[in-house]
Amino acid sequence: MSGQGTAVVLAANAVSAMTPLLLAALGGLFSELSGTLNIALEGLMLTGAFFGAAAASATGSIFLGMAGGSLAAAILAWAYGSATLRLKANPFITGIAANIFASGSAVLLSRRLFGTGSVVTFALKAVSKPLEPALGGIPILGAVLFGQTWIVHASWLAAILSWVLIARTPFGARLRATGANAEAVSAAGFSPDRYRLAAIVISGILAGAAGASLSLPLAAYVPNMSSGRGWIALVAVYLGFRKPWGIALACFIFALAEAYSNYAQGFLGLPPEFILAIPFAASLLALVVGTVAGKVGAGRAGKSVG
Amino acid sequence: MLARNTDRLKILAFTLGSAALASCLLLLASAPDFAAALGQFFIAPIANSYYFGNLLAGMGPLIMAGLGVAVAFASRNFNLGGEGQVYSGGLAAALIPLAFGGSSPWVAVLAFAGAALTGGLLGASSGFLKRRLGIDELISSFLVSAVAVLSVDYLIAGPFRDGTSNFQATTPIASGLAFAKLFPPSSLNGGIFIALAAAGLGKFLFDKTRFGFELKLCGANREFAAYSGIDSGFYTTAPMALSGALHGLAGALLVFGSYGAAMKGFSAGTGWNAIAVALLARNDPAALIPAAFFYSYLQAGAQSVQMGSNISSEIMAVIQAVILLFVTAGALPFRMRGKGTRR
Amino acid sequence: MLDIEKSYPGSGTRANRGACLQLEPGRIHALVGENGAGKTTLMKILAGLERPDSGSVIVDGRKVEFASPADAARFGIGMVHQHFTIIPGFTAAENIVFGAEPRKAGIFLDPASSLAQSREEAKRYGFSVDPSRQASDLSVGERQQVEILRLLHRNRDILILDEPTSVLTEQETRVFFGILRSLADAGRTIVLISHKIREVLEVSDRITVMRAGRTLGEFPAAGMTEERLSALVMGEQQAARRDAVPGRPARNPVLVLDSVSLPGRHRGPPRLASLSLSVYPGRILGLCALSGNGLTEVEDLLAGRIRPSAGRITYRGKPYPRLRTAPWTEGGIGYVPSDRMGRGSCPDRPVWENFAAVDRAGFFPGGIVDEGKARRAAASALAGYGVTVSPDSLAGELSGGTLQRMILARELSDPHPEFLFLCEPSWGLDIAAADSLYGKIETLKAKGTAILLASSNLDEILGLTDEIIVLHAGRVQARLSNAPDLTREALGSFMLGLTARTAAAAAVDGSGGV
Repeated sequence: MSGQGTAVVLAANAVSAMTPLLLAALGGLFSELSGTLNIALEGLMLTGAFFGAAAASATGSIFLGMAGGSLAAAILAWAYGSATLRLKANPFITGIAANIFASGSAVLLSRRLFGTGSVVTFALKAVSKPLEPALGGIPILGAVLFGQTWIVHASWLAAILSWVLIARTPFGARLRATGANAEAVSAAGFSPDRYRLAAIVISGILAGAAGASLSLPLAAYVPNMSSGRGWIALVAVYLGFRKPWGIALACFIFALAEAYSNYAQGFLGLPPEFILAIPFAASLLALVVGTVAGKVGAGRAGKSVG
Repeated sequence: MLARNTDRLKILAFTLGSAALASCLLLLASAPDFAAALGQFFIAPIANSYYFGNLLAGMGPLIMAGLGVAVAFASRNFNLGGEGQVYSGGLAAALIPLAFGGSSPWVAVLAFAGAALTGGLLGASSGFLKRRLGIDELISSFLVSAVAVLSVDYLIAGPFRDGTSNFQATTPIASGLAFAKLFPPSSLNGGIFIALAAAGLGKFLFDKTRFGFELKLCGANREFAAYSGIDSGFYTTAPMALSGALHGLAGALLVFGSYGAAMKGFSAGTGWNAIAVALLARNDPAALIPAAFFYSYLQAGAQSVQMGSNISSEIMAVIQAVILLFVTAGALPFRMRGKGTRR
Repeated sequence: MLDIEKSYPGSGTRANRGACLQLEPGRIHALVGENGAGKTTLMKILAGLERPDSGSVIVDGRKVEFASPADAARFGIGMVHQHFTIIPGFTAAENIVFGAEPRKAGIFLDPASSLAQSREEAKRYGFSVDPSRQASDLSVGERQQVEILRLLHRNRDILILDEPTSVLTEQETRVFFGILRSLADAGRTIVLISHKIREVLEVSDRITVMRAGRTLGEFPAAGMTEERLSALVMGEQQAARRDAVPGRPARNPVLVLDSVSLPGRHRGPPRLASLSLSVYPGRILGLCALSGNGLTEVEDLLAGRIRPSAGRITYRGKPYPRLRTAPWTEGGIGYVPSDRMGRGSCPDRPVWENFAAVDRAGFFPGGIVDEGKARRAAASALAGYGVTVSPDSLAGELSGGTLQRMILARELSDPHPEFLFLCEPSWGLDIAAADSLYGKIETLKAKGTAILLASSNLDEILGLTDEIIVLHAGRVQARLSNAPDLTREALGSFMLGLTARTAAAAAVDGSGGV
């Protein structure tokens, strides 16, 4: 394979792989802006992956699968958020609880419904690539941008819509205000907790979609298949200066690292554990380098709750 | 202050009650014979000597790692790297005896020291990153732990694997070194006494020593601690290092007590369990003992129900989640006698 | 408002006892009283933040009950509190319209419209703030204007302002009073909560005096004099000005700040510019400045929170310690901070631990706690300041004045510290307690402690110090000897930057410039 061809393939894989990261990170962005650190992204993604695949299998529609995954994760997010806010519990701990619950209940349900607690395969049709026939022929960009599934395109749309919602609507203004100065929000007559909960539910919808975007193309659910992406998504939120375009860039870089390590596994003969560790190590390195370069504030956001 | 304590008790009761309720609901949904399952889950752990022995055995690492969590929490640091610290500490404890050979007690001491050092270094790395660069230790400890777990997985399955065994594990340590089983066939071993002693030592450290006082003060009000002349930078790295070391020791307890070797994934979940236990105990080293007992009781119940009614062990994950969800509640869903505005 | 009763069972205070208040549109009302007289509580009831235990609130002839600020808002009542609720990261205009934003197509924000509306409202009443600026860049006075504009944007007709001038410079206060006047002329009702008698007389139409939870009466401002109003508020003869006791000759300074500088934030002007001062044993140096002029930075420097970017701080000839030693030890530093609950105490821990914390070497011999010793030390120190709470009570449960006395007891106790840094030490203390404190300060001065007193209470400064340094815009604006002919007005003039005196000798310089 020519060098340029490999680069294009890697880039295309990266753009595809960044989709779950981008969606999860957008979800993390909403929580972060409202002043709470959402640790439950992992669990929400798992829920989305499991229920998304199950819904798609039951209805025969990939779209309904995505919707089902998002809905399931939104419900979990709503439960986790309400419990945290109403009980005034520590959001880090309840987030861990949500993660544990999501992975445990997925296995329990998987055994119940599908008879196995490990990998479940579904009979799903392939996810379509609507722009490929028309634009897939364009050199480089064709493969990288237009040859992607509609889920990938939808994630970009989600990024744009998120920006509009955050920066250009009253809801977004009040959300940002809740994170910046919650007292101002209650002084103005609104309930900061309502906005925090809304942010958590939105992050559930997005993270659920992220999870579904993992399982649907594979047509399978693998236990703990999110393997740390929820955490990387959080790092991406910080590294991206809490702006959608910055986050997208950070996700792309992480996805590129992941794509490269998959590629390298073939010929570098690295042990599989090493490959699996690369995203975590890369995130840590990025966090350190980013902080040292003085560009990023990696401090904890959620001062208002817990 | 009295009012606050009764509020806390109410929350604790609510948490434990919810956990029990969740268990019952899960059993109802999954067990072929609900009544039998109830007995297996709630009664067998205490009545049956095998399960009870395992219950007590399970307390040891929970107390040790829970102490590590408590040390970190008390100084307002979140050590989410427990999993990696326990696992790598355990590996160190499994490998050091192989390097030295023999069953002298000094080898055991060295193994434990090595476990503590390994865990401590991992914890200290996050503390260092926080102190020097202000990086959130919650995220960094988790990331470091994730890498550590994968690295230990590789080491156990690869370079240090015991070729003669079917399991993915290191060569077993000399049988003279491993803690004697006190109550076979259960795993109860002498490690529990080490853990209890550690809890006692921890209580003393927290309540009576200058180190414990300064550590708690840094956690309670950093500004005031600095104003009093306490070096709060030290109390960022030190508690994380100590926390990691305690987790490492928990790993050593598992190797020397239950497994005799480092098997792949032998410590999985200990880190998260320890967080639940420490929170139930409200970071009080003495309260860790009953909290670990209760938690281990639930785990023994899950194990018994798995064997008796063929229910998968994920039931424990759900119960653990329920506990974690409620245990840090500052308020309850029903009306609580609040104290009104403080002025 | 008729016969309002309000008690706080938690702290056992009867904040309002049968208080009454009458408000008319188009007038500026002042609610005057000392700290703790019940003014803020009464207004919180009007604003819907608190519910009265008994009594009634009548608006436009109808009896009303407010369950929340939103209810009060429906009747056009709005309040600006002492702690601003400015949203950082937003512009001033975005802050102003927050919650009632103009919209495009019903669902999108309309930034252009927000800006235009804010500009128009600001111009109408003489506000000086520029709505297009970032909120975090605004000065304190401008932030307050944003708070008021926010109320106006939402059509509040009755505006309650809680101690609005406490954070303003003289100049900003002028602008502020102009705004109030034009608002009142436009028909709005203004209520000012204040304890600043001079200002109240200057700007208001009617004055209601409160003392110890009761309203003493309502008076037109026209016929009122300062003396009469003071007498009503204080209830007794104002203490005559204290004469400062002269200190030892200035030799061998204990603390020296040598050309200390701190750069500005966000490319702004430097926070401290080449500041030099010395504190001598047995003498008191007074430090005063308006907020935002460098006093906080000096405090943070001496607290070890920040380091100067240039210059040095030496203590007893060596670099200033990063971690301070307990006041009652060799070379100890006593420090009474302006942030009592954050820096000066640990609210979640008992009083005796708040004492022990400051001297761990002393109370943890061999690393193990000596609780008895700490308790005894705390009890005896507290007794000297008239505090009778148990050493086991949590610091956070103490009332403001008691907490202040706890901190004073801790920092000023025997054996005396080598250097004592006091920031607003008489906050929360009534006249008798403050007097007693001044006596103790003078005793320490006589024993040889070097004292730095940072205070906004000019009487305190004039009554205790040997020298006074006035800071303005981070520089030394005036270096003065405390002489009997030095007046509050002269000090005020230095603090505003209108006059300057940096040479230690001779007559007061009336012309501007440094």
